[in-house]
Amino acid sequence: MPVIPTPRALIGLLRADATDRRPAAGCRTPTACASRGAARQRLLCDRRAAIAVLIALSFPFLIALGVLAANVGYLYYRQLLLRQTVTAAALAGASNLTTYYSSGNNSTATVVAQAQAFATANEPTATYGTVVPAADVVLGTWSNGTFTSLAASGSTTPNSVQVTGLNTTANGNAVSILLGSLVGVPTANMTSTATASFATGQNFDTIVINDLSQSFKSEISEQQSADKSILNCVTANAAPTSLFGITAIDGHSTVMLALAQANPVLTLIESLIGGLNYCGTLGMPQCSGSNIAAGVYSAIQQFSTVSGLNATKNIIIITDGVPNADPITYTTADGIYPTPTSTTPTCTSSCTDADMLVMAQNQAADAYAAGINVSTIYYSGDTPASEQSSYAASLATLRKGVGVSLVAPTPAQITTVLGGFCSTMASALKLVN
Amino acid sequence: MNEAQKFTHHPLVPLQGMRAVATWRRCRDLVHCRRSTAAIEFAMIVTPLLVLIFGFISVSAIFYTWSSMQNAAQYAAMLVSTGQVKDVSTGALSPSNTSATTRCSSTLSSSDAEYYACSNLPSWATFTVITTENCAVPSVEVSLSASASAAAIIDIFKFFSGETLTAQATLMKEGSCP
Repeated sequence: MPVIPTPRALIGLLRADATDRRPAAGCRTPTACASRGAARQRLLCDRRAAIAVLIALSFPFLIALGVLAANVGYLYYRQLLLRQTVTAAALAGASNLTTYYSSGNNSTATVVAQAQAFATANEPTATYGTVVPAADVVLGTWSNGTFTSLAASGSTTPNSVQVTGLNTTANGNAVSILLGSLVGVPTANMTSTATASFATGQNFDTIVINDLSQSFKSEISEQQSADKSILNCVTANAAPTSLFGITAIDGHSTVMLALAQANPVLTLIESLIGGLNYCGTLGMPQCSGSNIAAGVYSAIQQFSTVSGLNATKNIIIITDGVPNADPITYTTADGIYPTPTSTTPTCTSSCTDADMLVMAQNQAADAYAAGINVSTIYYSGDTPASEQSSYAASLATLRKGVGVSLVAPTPAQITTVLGGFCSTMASALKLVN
Repeated sequence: MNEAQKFTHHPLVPLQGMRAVATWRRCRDLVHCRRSTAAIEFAMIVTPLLVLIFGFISVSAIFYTWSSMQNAAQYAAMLVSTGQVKDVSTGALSPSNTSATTRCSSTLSSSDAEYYACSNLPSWATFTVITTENCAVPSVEVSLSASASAAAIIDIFKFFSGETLTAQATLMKEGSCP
């Protein structure tokens, strides 16, 4: 007999399903729950959609955790940026510390302006506000690990600049925290301080290597001019105890002036430079090619016997082209060994021009390893135009450390570039804190 | 005989009414069925949960990349500033060659400033570096940029699409310039 479901039967079925609940902990039976009659109690006892409730409650915490992680990352980045900004500002300010003395009225304007300019270059005002206010660029003295401002010490001889960068509410540029306002911390304050010291007149020990090969005959006056520029640079900017020496090269090296303090014998050195001539002339070495390696090797040996404290050691090679070989036999003193401990020479006889360049490069690398900067000055007047660029590139490979590599410098360039190089070398710009 | 057959074969009940009741009953059973509820609930929460997890990873990767870029830019600028590096990928820095724009790659030489700007950067993104020397100041600026989407590693929801991460460091040039 077929069964016909009536509407009443259907409603009865639904009711049965709706009351089919499992009792929650603390609830004896569904009937017990229902018998209490309180809606709140029913809700507590109802286990349906428990996961949905759990998720709804835990998601805000998960999101908050993610926001916290993002904020930590961002704040770390901003702290790094702030530190780099004040570092750049302090170095720029200290580099211009000489303007305090040269201004005539102990003006700090240039120092402050330069420090602020570099702070702005790293953290533009439009984005980050004024990170380094003028009042936070302070001149002072750095001594025994302590900075004392001029205002505090009453000194008028600053040797350092301290810069403080601000990302604070008081400065109007605090770092925003993502969703921080929800927990009452909308911004974070950051400060960072860097101190840079600047000192001039440091020891600047220099050996000039003069290429006296015959090819340099027509440009010997330029070589003398360069020598004098370097000498003037050393005596004008470096410490009086700085050492100066001249070594001549052809196929071998000849020490024309052993390393000595330049100031006491300045006239003698100038006279010696004025008397420099190309090889084969009176008092000059015999012509035998052009071996830069020999000069650099000799300079390294000379420097190794000097123990100047905190001195900058420099080799300045003045030449009119790349090294060239002569049919002679080269020895240890000619820089034939790639390293001081090497036992296999690059070549001893039948050396090629390429061998001579390799030898020079090896010696320049050895010099740099010994803490010596290497500069090159190339006078290209006698070099065929087609080869000038390759010669310049080859000589540039000899430059090491903070040396410079000049090509056909005019007298003005020698004065400005070498003068700038020398004054910088003889100064000490340091980030001290 | 099942329920459907019962409804279908009763001569007194119209055919369409039988089907409607059967459909309604199936829906009612589905609503109250407790089987596989965990799977359904998991399916409902997995999407927002994945959004959160991948979001955390992406944001962390971006800040790591950004900080690395800032460090590398500063390091390269410092090396050029102090005269320890004088070359860029297009040759030696000189009055006529004061800027270079290049992509970080393994072909850069250790004598190039960009080589150092491209060091210690995350491997999952591609970086472009611009080195500029301004002898009028004198200053040196190293700027690194990368696609934020690439820096995020997993940007499946394209949150960072079209955005660019930039880190830039400017230092005073010491010594001679160039």
